[in-house]
Amino acid sequence: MRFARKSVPAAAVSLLLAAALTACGGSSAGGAAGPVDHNAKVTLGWAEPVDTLNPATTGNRDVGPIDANIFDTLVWLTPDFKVTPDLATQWQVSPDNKTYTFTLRQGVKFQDGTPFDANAVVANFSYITDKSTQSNIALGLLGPCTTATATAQYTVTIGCSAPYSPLLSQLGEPYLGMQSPAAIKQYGKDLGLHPVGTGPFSFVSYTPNQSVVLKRNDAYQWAPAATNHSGPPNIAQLTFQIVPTSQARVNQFQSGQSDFMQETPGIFWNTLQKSGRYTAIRFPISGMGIFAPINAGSWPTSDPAVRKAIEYAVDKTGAIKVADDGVFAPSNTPLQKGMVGYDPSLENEYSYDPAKAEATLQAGGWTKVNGIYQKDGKPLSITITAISTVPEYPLIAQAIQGYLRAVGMDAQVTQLATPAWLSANIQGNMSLTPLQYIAVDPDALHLWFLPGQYFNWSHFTDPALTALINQGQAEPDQSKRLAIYAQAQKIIMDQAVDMPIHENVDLVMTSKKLTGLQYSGGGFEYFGAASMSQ
Amino acid sequence: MTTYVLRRLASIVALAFGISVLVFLIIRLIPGDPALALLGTNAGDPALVTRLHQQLGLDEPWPVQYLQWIGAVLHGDFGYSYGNQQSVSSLLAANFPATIQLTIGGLALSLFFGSIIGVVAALRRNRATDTVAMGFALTCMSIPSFWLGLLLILLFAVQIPIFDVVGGTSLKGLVLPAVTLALSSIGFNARFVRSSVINAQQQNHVINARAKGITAVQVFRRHVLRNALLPILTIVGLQVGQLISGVVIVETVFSRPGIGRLLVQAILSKDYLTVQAVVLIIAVIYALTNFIVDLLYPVLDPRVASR
Amino acid sequence: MQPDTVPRTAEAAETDTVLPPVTRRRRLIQAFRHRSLLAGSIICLVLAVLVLAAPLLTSADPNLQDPLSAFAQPSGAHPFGADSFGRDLLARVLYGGRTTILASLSVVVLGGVVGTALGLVAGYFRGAVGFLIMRLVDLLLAFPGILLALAVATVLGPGLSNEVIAVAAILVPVYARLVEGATAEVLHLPYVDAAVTLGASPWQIIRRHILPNVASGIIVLTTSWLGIAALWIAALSFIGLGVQPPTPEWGAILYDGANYITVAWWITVFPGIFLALFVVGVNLLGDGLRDELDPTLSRDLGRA
Repeated sequence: MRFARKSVPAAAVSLLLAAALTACGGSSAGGAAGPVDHNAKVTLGWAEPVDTLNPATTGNRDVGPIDANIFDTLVWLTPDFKVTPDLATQWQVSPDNKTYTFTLRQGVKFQDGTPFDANAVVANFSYITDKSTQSNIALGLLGPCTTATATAQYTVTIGCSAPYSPLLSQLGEPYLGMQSPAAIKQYGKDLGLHPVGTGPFSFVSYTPNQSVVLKRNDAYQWAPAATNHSGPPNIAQLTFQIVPTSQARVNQFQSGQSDFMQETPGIFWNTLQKSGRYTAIRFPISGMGIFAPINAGSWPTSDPAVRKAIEYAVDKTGAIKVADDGVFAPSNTPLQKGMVGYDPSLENEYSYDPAKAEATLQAGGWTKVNGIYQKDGKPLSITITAISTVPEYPLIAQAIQGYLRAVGMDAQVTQLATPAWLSANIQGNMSLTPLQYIAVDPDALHLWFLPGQYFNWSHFTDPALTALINQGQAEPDQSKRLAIYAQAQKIIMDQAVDMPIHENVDLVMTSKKLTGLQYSGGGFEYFGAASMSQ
Repeated sequence: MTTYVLRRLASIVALAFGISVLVFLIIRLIPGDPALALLGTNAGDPALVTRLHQQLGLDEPWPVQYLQWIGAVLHGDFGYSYGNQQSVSSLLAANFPATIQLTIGGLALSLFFGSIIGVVAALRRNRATDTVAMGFALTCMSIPSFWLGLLLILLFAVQIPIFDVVGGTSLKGLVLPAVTLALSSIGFNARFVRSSVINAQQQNHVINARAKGITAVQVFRRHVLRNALLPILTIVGLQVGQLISGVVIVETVFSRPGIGRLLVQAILSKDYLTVQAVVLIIAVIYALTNFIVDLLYPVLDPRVASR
Repeated sequence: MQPDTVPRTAEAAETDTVLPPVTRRRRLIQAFRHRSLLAGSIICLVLAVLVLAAPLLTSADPNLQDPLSAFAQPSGAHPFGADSFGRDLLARVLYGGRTTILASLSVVVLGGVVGTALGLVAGYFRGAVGFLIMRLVDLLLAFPGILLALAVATVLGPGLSNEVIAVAAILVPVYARLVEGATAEVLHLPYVDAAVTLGASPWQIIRRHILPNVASGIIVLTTSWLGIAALWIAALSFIGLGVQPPTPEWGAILYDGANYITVAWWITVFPGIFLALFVVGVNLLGDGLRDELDPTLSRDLGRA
């Protein structure tokens, strides 16, 4: 799940980073890179099970990168969030910001031979919005823009019921990858077992819990210009081997059974990097990072003093040290550094200060009895829920628990499987819960802080905040949007309904032979321009 | 005999029915709404939630849901797993081979080493060899399998990388999981075989044969082994059930694909139809194995047939 | 992690048939039995003393986080090393033993009491209720143990007490089967039959005649299941359904270490050794007790 799993990449902040990436890939130090092997079969140690390969219905972050290599999207989102041509060569937005007209690339064919044209785009929109499709992330990315009309063979118009500024960037996420209309028609519910796109690799096989195999699409001549690559990929075959246990993934990589490993656990990231035998790549994941919504809807975190005390009490650097061997930078803002909407002025709103945490509690009328704060005879008990199936969250939860106990809050950790975790958070039976949320647009905030939203796990409503977030969604002007989101984030932090914990980064280790790895905005690994040396 | 077979078959059907009701009820008691997890970011839309509940059949009363499910199962249709977005049958088809490979590997190892250790211990009864063998057997039974798996990974992952430590259903990848799975059964079988052999040795015709001056080896082969191996058949039946429990752990520790991991995931994500299908099939396999073992008994031992 | 039941059938048969010819050998067996009883008792006793004396053996707080000691290797300061939170592993293993051992004892007590009660009711009163109970028992016995435990643990939610209930659920049918069989047998004894005719109340019959007859069987079953219970408790914690952090428990510590085993072996190795030792000790004790107590009764265990 996109919000629930610890995972990958997204927005490279700057060109600088992209350059660094190319440098470390392209000229791999040590001169290990020989001539390009055009028959290379690359094995990747993949961290999460696949729910389905169908981009419209998947709910998994980690399916995104697999799909990014099977499917092309209308636009290509660069790591620094520039919207550039892909299957669409150009586009226009109507003056009322409600209609987008895309001119499509010609001569593109799906891997099953079906030609790509305006009707194919229309078929995809109908499929995603169809009531009988179990659409997931894809549907949310479209927002109010759910109608597509073919106005010419290679011209398609997308209509929105309200202005929706996030649309263009979100069209670049692989969940909106274009599927073959013939396949949609033929396979119905089993579409996920037969993915057919226009991308650089075509589907070979999928064995649940084991692997996904893709092979080079030899007809591929339409790589996005921004990737600086033309023609079919250099790599002949990609095998995503699903290895959820991190130690097993490391073993697989170290013993040479894989050429690429994602979600490298912190301690191994440090030791493997020291060995100097591999290429280490940090993929920054845009969105809200790893954070914990703090529940303002139920006692005791309904008391702002308690929420602020929590923000002061937790030493993020220490928590990252124990949970991830210190490999991540602490995060202090709702929208992540490098992401559109990041506001550096919030960095120092709360810094680790246990004395201030206690002072805040005392000022709020709490008194310490036998080492635990209490008010009106009730002890200050905090419940931290954590998803039991992803190792990182229980670790972070325990670290937070340790710091809260240290200042006199009676913190308990409850590890739950996903369905139970969801219902606990929705019903507000928790004080806070660590998680991630991935997004390419600052509009991410609306899911988490608008009244009535399913993910409003802060159970918090503020009319000014609601107005700002709604305004930001409709505002086409980028600089005005930045100002709006800065104000919105200020409210969120002042009210202490979000505790940012650390940056969200996918730590990827690869063999030095693997070079030219790229990713699109949002952090989706792209192998279309990568190569393996002999 | 025919009546016996029919009665046994009827009891297996009754058992399968009971199991199907039990698993149906248990999975519904697990807290949380699976539809919310399936809808992800769209779970805030009540219309979508209602629609998915309809698609999942969860809007019907439980008895109706049960009858619909069991009716379809009787026609060979295990339904559709929304969590995995494919039919349960194709999920089973994709996961069963790896588990069968692992189970057979484990069973073979445990029978082979269990028998050898057991026979040696019995022949060297009450001597040092016996004590060592039985101590070893007890240790095998006492070591937590998941811990052993981790130690094997530690040893063979980086230190002595001769076996694959991850996933794969190759023979190289099978060794460590199969050893882990087999270990406690090896101990169990060794003790069982030792007792069976000793028991057989004590029987009158064996003692007579020995008195007649037939060599020990001949006695062992002709009389003891034959009588001792019969009871071993029983444990094959019993062990299928136990190995299934082990499979859940071993597949998790070694990141192997298979029914065990599928089941844990399905339980944790409340994937009703997958859990129901897997549990039902496992229970039926278990019951059938024991049934077949019981049928084989009289074939191998005429004394049982005459009863 | 398997119910060690079948060997008992054969071992019991063995004791029946190892008859007169060799009293010398019998003495040897006796000695061996005592040896396993002795060894088992010593191991269990030592472990019990170690976990009970934890505060005397280490001054470290098992839950105290110390980022500076994260992954500290075994040394004077941390004899067993430290985990990723910098928590002292010796303290965690010792205090964790309390959790694991107490939970295992609770499992056999809970499973034993409920199972025995069900078995008594089914065996004594028979009829529709008895029939229903025993069919349910058949059902549960055909249900692979791990599924039952996983399902119950997921239904009840996480936590130590729920984990105990989940594992006890595997045990209930085993006890019920044993006690039901024994009860039915005892009821057929002439003097019991006579007592029933003379109007003794069910409770009197159960207390005076049935319980004493099944007691040794229950004791044997309990010892042999104690080790299995410990393995189950640890296994469930290992899957993440057990104790909640930061409570130490052997299986949970193993789980903590599983993701670091090639860089911090001590987190996995030490609790595993203790767990294995405990199970070995309990199993030795069980073997010894089984041979000492009525072996014919233990034959019934084979059916479980």
